[in-house]
Amino acid sequence: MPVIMSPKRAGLPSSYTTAARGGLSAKSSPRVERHRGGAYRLWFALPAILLVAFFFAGPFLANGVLSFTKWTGFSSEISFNGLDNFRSMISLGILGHSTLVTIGFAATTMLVQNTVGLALAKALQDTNRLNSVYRTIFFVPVLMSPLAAGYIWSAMLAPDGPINAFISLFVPGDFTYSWLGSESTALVAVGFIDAWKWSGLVTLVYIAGLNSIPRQMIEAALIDGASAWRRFRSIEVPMLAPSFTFNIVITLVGSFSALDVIFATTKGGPGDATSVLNVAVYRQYGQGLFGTSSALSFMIAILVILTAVPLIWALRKREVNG
Amino acid sequence: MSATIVRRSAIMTAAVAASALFLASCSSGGSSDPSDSATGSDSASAPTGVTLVMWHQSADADPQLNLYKAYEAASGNTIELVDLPADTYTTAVQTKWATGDRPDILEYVPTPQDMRQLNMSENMLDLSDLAFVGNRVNDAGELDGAVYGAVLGPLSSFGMFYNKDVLDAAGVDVPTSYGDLMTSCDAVTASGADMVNIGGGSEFPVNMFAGFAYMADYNEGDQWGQGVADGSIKVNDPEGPIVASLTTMKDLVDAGCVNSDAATATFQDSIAAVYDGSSALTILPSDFISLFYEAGGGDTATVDETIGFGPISAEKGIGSYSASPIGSYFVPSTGDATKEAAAKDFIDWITTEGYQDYVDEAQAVPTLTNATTPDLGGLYASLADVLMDPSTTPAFNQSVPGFGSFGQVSVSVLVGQASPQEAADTWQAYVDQAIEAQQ
Repeated sequence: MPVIMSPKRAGLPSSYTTAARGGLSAKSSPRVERHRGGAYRLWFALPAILLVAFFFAGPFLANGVLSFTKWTGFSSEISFNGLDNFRSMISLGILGHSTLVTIGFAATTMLVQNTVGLALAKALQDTNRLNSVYRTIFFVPVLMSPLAAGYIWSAMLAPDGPINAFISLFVPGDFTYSWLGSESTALVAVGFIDAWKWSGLVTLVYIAGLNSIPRQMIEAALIDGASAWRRFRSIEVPMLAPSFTFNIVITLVGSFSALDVIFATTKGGPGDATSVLNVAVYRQYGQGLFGTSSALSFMIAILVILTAVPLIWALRKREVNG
Repeated sequence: MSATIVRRSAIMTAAVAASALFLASCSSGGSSDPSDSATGSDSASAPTGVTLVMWHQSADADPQLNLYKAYEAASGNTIELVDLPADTYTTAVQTKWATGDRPDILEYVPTPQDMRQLNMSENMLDLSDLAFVGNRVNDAGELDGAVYGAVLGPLSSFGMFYNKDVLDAAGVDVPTSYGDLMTSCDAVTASGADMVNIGGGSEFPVNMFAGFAYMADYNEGDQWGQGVADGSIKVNDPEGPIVASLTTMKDLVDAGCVNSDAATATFQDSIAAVYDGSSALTILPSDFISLFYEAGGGDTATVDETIGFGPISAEKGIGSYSASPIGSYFVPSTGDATKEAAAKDFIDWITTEGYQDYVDEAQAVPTLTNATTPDLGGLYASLADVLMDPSTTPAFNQSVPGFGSFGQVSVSVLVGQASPQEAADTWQAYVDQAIEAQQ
């Protein structure tokens, strides 16, 4: 069995460690080393900084400014109109309703994805040939176009579709409930569809998290006679904190920006039952009301920031405390 | 006399004239000389070898697609089609448009409200100098005195596609009013079919049912629509026709006269349901006649035997019409002089040399006087009857700001999310928002 030894124990000169860490010659002064190391990192970061500046910061700032303008397809003039766009969206009931629908959709998808993802991760944790096949199967929806997923599930959930046909086997008469056409179930249904689409990704993150837990801890717990549930609750869940942070934030924030699956299934309907903020953005945009559309889009950004920042802070704190 | 009345009279005059020409053509052997349309673009200065990008409806059928091919052959230019979905067409165009993206040719809705959304005076070329302008039988495509759109037709009529066998089996007459729908409902549903099929999943069919067809009684001379635009008429008037229309739809749903999957069914589902007899009728634009023929696998005789098309409205049994985005073309101002010239050449060619062949293949009543009405049969003949009927009125939406939200609010009634009055109140709020945005 190979033994990992420190350079010093291995009898290597002390300059080896410096060279190995910083890639500099042993003769470089510490000051030069720090300076060159800093520039080295900056060059690596530059592409990311440029991408963020061009594709996020710029559009985000422009959208923020346009939120306070009267900008429509009816005129080429864009003029500042203060908070009129927000007042208009509030008075029409669009802002409040769509924000609530968005939160409901995001909460549904986050809960379903993480519950299903964690359960699947536990089931498929061990790396063997059979589990590899199942992992691949559960990952296929992630690779699928969201629109295709939406269309497939629209057919599956149609009143005369296979889901209802299956239910009809267990209930008297034909079961023809319209899952996507009923106000009471449409939002939950599209939430489940989105969760189905992305659960494979969440599962992989949890599998990686589970497999990074030192086996000695599990073995020690086994020796101490801890049950499977106790090991899961007292060892695996705390040790999965970074995975929880990533998955909860990504699924929640990602759902705030959802449009494609909803558009492919309900187009925001029936009525406005699944009209998340992005659907409202699309509808305002489509009517040439670009200023109000920007205001709604700005609200999505605000919602993401207000949710993600405290959530990440709280979950990271839990990681440290845990 | 209002412009709309002039327009309607012109349509009727043209239709009658076209019919007379059609009768004359029957005795002389039929259509115009095909060689006329094979000579290509006449303009000596017309660019060739140019690739023109066209945003068009995915519902464009063979007559439109063949027209593009014919122009390519005649001109040496190439048309690169960008498909946009038919059921969200105007929204899709708006979305792309707002990003600054521009096609060289745009197939679009030539009604005043839709045209205003693209700010025609700044974004489109005025086509007033082209030959077709003097041949128009209506003012569709015209806004504030300038002609931006070439409307080839076919004009759309918003009427009822019905299955003759289903109605015969139920022993009921072809309905002409919404009252008839309720009266005939029991007999039809007893025979195992739905009385009405609504494709609410596509949203716009609800517009057809709750708006276009019902409102034909109320929009003579476009007076109702113009009243909404100037604020003298409120769409949420409790005694008004919109609340009445939505109430009628709700009553039909509550009575079990509408397909149970109305909230999720698409317009394609509606066409299939009426063709296979699981529903007695659906209300859709006449643009979809070709889709009924497709549903019959191209067997036009069987389709004509099975399916009928006719007017239905609140009480009077009249139709409404509108210029369709299908077959209506605009030239956006792109700043590329060569492509703009080629795009205008396209407009000129399709409205002159290529027009008769197009009308013949589309089975359309011409909207330009330089073509004669082809030998119409089946559903197309029924459509022509509706368009030629002097009582036919303009579609109720043409002048209504904020019409884009009507589908959403009417679906909310269809699925029981809102009462008719609540839905009308919501729509009025959207109308007010749109009126304010245009000021």
